[in-house]
Amino acid sequence: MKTRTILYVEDEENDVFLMRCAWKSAGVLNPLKVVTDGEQAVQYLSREGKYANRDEYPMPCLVLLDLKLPKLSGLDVLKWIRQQPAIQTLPVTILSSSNRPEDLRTAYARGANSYLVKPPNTDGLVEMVVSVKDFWLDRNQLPPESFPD
Amino acid sequence: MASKQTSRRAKAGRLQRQTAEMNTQLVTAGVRQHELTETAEKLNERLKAEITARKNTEEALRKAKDLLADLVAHQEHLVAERTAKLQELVGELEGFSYGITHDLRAPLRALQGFSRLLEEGYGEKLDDTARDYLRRIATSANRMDKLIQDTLTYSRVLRLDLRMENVDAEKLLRSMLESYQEFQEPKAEVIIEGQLPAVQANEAALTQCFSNLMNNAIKFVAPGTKPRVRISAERRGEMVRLWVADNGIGIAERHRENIFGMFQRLDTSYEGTGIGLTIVRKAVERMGGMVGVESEPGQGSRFWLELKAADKVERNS
Repeated sequence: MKTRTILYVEDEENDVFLMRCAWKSAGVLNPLKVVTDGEQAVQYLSREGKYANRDEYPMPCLVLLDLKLPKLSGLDVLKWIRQQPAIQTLPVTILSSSNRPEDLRTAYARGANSYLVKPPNTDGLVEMVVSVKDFWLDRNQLPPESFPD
Repeated sequence: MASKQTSRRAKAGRLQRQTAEMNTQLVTAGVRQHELTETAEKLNERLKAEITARKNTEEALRKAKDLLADLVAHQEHLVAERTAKLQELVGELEGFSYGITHDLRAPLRALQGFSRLLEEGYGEKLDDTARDYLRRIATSANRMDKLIQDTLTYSRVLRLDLRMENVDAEKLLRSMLESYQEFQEPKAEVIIEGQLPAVQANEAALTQCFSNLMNNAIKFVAPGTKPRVRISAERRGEMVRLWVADNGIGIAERHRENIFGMFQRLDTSYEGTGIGLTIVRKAVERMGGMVGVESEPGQGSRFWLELKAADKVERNS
């Protein structure tokens, strides 16, 4: 079985760079695809434009979604995903700096599958990536229909 | 004949007298009428004056009433205006804390992350001084992140609506002791002495208070000393005073009031932001209580917070 892709929606360039480093340190082989705003996330998931190329941009088995994004917020992207019949069960993990109760509440209310707070340092980030891999990629059973390329 | 004349004269005299009398009466009546007319006129005038006065009074009253209504309306407007301004301020504070949470911490993660990458990838090419600088950058970034988190917690304590309920202080503390290794043997010895009664509090806020007090209690000990914390309660009338006593370094008298102030740190050799006790005081105040401390340098500290005892009726239900 081929390793499935994870889509990371993040506008902070440094966070993306550090995530790629942590991805490597944690030894995760699954490809990490990155888009940098909410609109791009929607285009990716609806295979618009260049994202029509499925070899280059495979359908992800998990979305790591920042909340505060340019153009379309993370919550808007989440809401949109839950309205698309083809991908409404796609697992979405929020990855935000915020642990504000109101952000957590809204994210879960809109259908987030889990919520992670960005660790403040690199060790924490590597630990987090390891636990995401262990749980979401190894342990967790993904929805059966997920997700035709 | 003579008598006839006499009687006629008498008659004339009588008539004359009568006429004179009538005249007098007429004159008197005229005078009287004149007087009456004058009186009536005077009365009329007075009545008119009274009516005018009453009208004036009514007018003044009406004006006063209008003025009062205006004042009330003005006051209501002011209250509404101020409420709106306050709500706006709370909203701004909310937006402010949202911005801090989401944006201010990102550069710190980068500082932390890249100094770490530099150390890991290029550490061998750096000398000790350079590595020390890197470590300082990382430590400062970390500290800044803690400051931001604590400031956010404080702003949350300030603006959140703290719903009060009966909280079983003992149950709350025991579950905290079970959840955190740093409150357990062999790292520390934390003992609850006697029974702690229920208090009127907001559970989340009280948890935050206990967490800050206990963390201080185990943090501020002399190097090599095992932290020992005693928690007890004391009934004081309608209030319950909860004590957190430690075997730490203690606080000199001149610093005892200061320590509850924002960003106040007495000893910078201990890690901290100086916001913990400010959060405790504000949270307890917002729950209608008080905080305080008894301490001597080298003798440990006894922090207390005082809250209303739980409402009995509710407690039984």
